[in-house]
Amino acid sequence: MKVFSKILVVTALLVFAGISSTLLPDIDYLAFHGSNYAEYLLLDKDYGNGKASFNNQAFYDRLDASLYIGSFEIGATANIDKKRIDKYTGRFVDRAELSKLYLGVDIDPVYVQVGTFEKTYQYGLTFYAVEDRDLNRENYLKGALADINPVDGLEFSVAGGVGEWDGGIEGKVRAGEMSIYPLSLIGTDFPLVTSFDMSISHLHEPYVEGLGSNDNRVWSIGASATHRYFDVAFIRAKHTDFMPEYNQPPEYNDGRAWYFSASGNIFDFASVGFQYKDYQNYLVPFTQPPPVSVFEKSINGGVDEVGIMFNVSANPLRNLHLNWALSLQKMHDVSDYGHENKHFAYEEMTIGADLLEIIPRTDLTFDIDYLGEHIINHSKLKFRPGATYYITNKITVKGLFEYEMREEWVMEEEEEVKYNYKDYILELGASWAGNISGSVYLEQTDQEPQQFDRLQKKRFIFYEVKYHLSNEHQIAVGYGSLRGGEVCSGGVCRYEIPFEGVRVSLTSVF
Amino acid sequence: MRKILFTTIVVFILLSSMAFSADAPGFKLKDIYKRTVDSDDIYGNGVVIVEFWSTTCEACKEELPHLNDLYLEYRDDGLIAIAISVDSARLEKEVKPFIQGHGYKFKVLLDPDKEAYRGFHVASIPMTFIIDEDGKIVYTHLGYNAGDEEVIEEEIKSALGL
Repeated sequence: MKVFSKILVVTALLVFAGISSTLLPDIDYLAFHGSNYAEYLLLDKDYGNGKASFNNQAFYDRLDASLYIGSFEIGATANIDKKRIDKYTGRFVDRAELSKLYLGVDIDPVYVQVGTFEKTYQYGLTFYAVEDRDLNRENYLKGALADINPVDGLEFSVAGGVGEWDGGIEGKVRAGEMSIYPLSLIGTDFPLVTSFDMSISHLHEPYVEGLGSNDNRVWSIGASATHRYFDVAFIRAKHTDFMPEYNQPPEYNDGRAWYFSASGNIFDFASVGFQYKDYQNYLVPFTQPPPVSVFEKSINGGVDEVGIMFNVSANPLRNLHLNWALSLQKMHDVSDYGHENKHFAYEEMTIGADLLEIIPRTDLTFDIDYLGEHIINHSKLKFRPGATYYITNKITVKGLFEYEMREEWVMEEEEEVKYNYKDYILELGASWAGNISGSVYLEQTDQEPQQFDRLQKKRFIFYEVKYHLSNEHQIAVGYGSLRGGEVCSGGVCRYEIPFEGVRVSLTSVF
Repeated sequence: MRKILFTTIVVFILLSSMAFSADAPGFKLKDIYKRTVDSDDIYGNGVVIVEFWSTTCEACKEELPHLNDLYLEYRDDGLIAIAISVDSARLEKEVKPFIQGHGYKFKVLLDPDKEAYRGFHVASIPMTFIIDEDGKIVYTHLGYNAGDEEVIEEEIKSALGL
C-alpha cells in the first residue's frame, strides 16, 4: 500500500506537471509531454462468489511522460492497476509501479540513456527486463545504453544492465554492436544499402540452488544488402553455455543463417515475392535470424530449418486485392526420441474487394481470409462483408459482419480429435468524424467456455460511445460484455480481462 | 477509489481545454530499405503528416490507404507523408512486403525499439500527427473511424494554406 501511495502521488504530480506545462510560456529548451490511458470498470458480477452487484470497481492507468531540458530528457511510465485480475490464478491483486524511469542525454553524435530501456541487437535479439506475464505490458532492461554515430555509415552501440533476453532467465546483461554501411560511408547515392554487423552479448544467470549459475555468450557477425527488389542476409553466430558449478567444459554451438528475399512487380498490377531461408543449428531464441513469414505470421520454429515461400499480391481492378502465399519448410528436430525431419506447409489466401461509390455515398467491402497451417492441423476460413454509408462528408454509419469457421485437431488420449467451431461478429457503428462515434459489438461462438474462463457464456454484446474532447483527448463509455484476451497494439500486448459491466476510458496526449 | 476517479476526470477535462502547439520530436530511424532518415532533413521542408502504425493493428491498416490517397493528392502542394511502423524486431521483415504489396507511395520508417513512439508519446495506434513548416505539431488524432480522413484532409489543407 505504501508503494501504491507513492506511485499514485508521482502519477498525480506528473499529470499536474503536464497541465502546468501547458500554461508555461514557450521556452525553447524546456518542454513536458506525455500521454495517459485510464480505464474505469464498474463490474456487474463479483466473480469471486458469483453474486450480481455493481460494487466491484477496477481502475487502470498508464501514464507516460517526459521532461525535456535542453539535450536532457527525463522520462517515466507509471502503471496503476487497482484491482487487476491475474489471468492464471483468477485472483484479484493490486499493482502500482514505475515500469520505466530514465535519464537520456542526446548530444549529437552520442546518445546515452541511464535507467530503463529496450534494445535490439544481433538481427532481432531483444533485451528487456523480466516480462510481466500477467499483463504483458512494456518492461525494460535496467541499466545504461550508449549509441554513437560518429559519421554517416558507422554506428556503435553498447548496453549493460539487469534483465533478460528473449525467453531467457533474468541476469546481468552486457552487449555491444558495431554496424558499418560501406556505401553510406563513402557517400554514394547508389540505391543499395549494404551493412556489416558485429555483435557480442553476455548474460550471466545468477546462482540458483540445485541449478547452479550459467554464463551465456553469443557473438555474431552478419552482412546484408537491401534493395528495393531484394534482401540478402548472412549471419554466423556462436553460443557458449558455461555452468561453472558443474566443472564441465563449456558447451559450444555454432550457428549460421542464410536468408534471401526478392520482390518485384509484374504487369503493373501485381507483385510477386520469394523468400528462402537456410538456418543451421541456429539458437533460437538466443539469436533471431530474419523471420520468414506468410504475410504477417512469422514461421520460424526451429534450430535447423530450410524453407521457401512464394507470395503473389495483385490488384487486377483498382478495388480488388488478391493475395496468396505458400510456405514449405523442413525442420530437423532433435529430441530425447532421436532425430526427426518434419515437413511443414502453411498456406494463406486473402481476397478483398472495395466497391467505392458504386452505390451513391456508399463504400462496400468484402474480405475472405483462409489460413491453413498443415503442421498442427489447424485452419480457418473467414468471411467479412462490410458497408459504410456517408450521410454527409462527416457523418457516417458502418456495418461489419464476420463469420469464421475454425478446424482444430486436439490430441486426446493418443488420438487426434477434430473440432469445428463457428464464430460470428457483428459490428454496427456511426461516427461524426472528429467528434463522436458510437458502436454496438456482438460476438457469438459455438465453442463451449473452458473451465477457467471468467465469463461462462457464448454470446457477448458491448455498446460504446466515444467522444473526442479535443484533438488530443478522447473519452469512451461502454456497457455490456467483452470476451477479452490478449490485445496487441504497436507491438505491445496486454491482457484485456473478460468483462461485463460499465467501462469508462480516457486517452490523453499532452 | 471515487476520489481517484474524480481527480482523473477533473484532470482530463482541464487538460482537454488546453490546446497548444508543441515542437515535433526529432528522430533518426531506418526506412524499409535500411537508409537512415533524420527528422532534421524533413522538418521545415513542407507540411509533414506522421502516422504510427503496425502490421498487427487492423484500424491502422484501414487508415493507411487514406494516408496514401492524401499523400498523392497533396504532395505537389508540399505534403510529406511518413508512416512509422512500431512492429517489433521480429515483425520488422513483414513491413516491406506489406507496403510494396499494397503499392503505398509514402515513406515508411521502422521503430522497433520505439524511440520515436516514445518521443511522440503515442498513447495508442493508429495515431496521426500533422507538423507545420515551422516544425510544430498542429494536429493530433487518436484512433481511426470511417470518415476521419475527411477531418484530417481539412487539417492538411489548413496547414498547407489551401
